[in-house]
Amino acid sequence: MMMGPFATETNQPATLQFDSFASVAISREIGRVLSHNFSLAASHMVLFQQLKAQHAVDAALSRLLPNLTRWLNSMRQRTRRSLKNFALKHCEETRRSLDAFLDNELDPLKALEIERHLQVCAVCAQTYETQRAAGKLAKALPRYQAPAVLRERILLALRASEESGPLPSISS
Amino acid sequence: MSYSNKLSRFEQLILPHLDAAYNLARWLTNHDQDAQDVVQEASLRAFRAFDTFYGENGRAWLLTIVRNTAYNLLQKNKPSRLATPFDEELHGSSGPVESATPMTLLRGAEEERNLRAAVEELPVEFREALILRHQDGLSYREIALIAGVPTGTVMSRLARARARLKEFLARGIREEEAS
Ligand SMILES: [Zn+2]
Repeated sequence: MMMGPFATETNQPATLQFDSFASVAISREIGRVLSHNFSLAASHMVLFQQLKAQHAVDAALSRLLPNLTRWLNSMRQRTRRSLKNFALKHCEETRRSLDAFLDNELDPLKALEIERHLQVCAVCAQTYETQRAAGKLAKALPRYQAPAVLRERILLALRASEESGPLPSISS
Repeated sequence: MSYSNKLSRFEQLILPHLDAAYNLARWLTNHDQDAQDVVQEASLRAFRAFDTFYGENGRAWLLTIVRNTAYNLLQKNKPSRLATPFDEELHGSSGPVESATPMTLLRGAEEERNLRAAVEELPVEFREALILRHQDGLSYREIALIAGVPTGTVMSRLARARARLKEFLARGIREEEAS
């Protein structure tokens, strides 16, 4: 004789037995399926939420990125421009003071400034070298010596003026 | 002050600067005999005015008198030359100039002659500033006092005179590259 849910020779207690047994099994199965589905649904929900969040971030970023890039570029440009202006201002000042620098006519602080600029600016350093070469050239010009007779003539004229009284005024 | 006393003081304080005086006069007049005449006349003038000299700087004092005497002579002899303003167009503007060391360019006597000629062509005020600065080592202020102009004028004259020397250097380089 077969026992269990599908027994053919059933009586009340067997039906009862079957009923209670089946209902427990079914409800257990339902619970299992439900809970599985629930957890699946829940995990899907989480995933879905995560994806949505990711999308939102992506969208926000893709909206923001061009702006960010533009901003970064403009900042970079502005920095470059102000650096250039700064350098140009220094170059201008240096060029203007280069002669006085070469002639030792600057106060020590200003001279130090020029010296520092010349160490970092190749363009001004080049100008400086050219200026310096011109100065050296001027120094290399011949230096004329007074002929010996000139000194004698002058002394003679001065002594002669002693004998002949005050010098006649020389017309100019 | 007795005459002989004055003379010996003059010999002691002023005459040692005769070379500087002659050199300046020579560069201002571009002529040996003119320069000698200028120095002799300037010395006699200096002697006459010696009572007003208080012994601060004999060389600058004598150079001032030499300078004025030379200008008088130039005005008398070559009024056109002194009056001709420096023609920027004619002499070329100060464009970009290659650099060079004087040593590489002043190798021969010919180069030295060329350089001297280039300086002699400069207006007399520029020559004056150049010589007083680079040969006598005077400051802008001292040159300004001698030339009777503001220091700013001295600076611009020096700058322009040196611009001419830079052109001379550049020309030397171009010739060197061409050969
Ligand atoms: Zn610079």
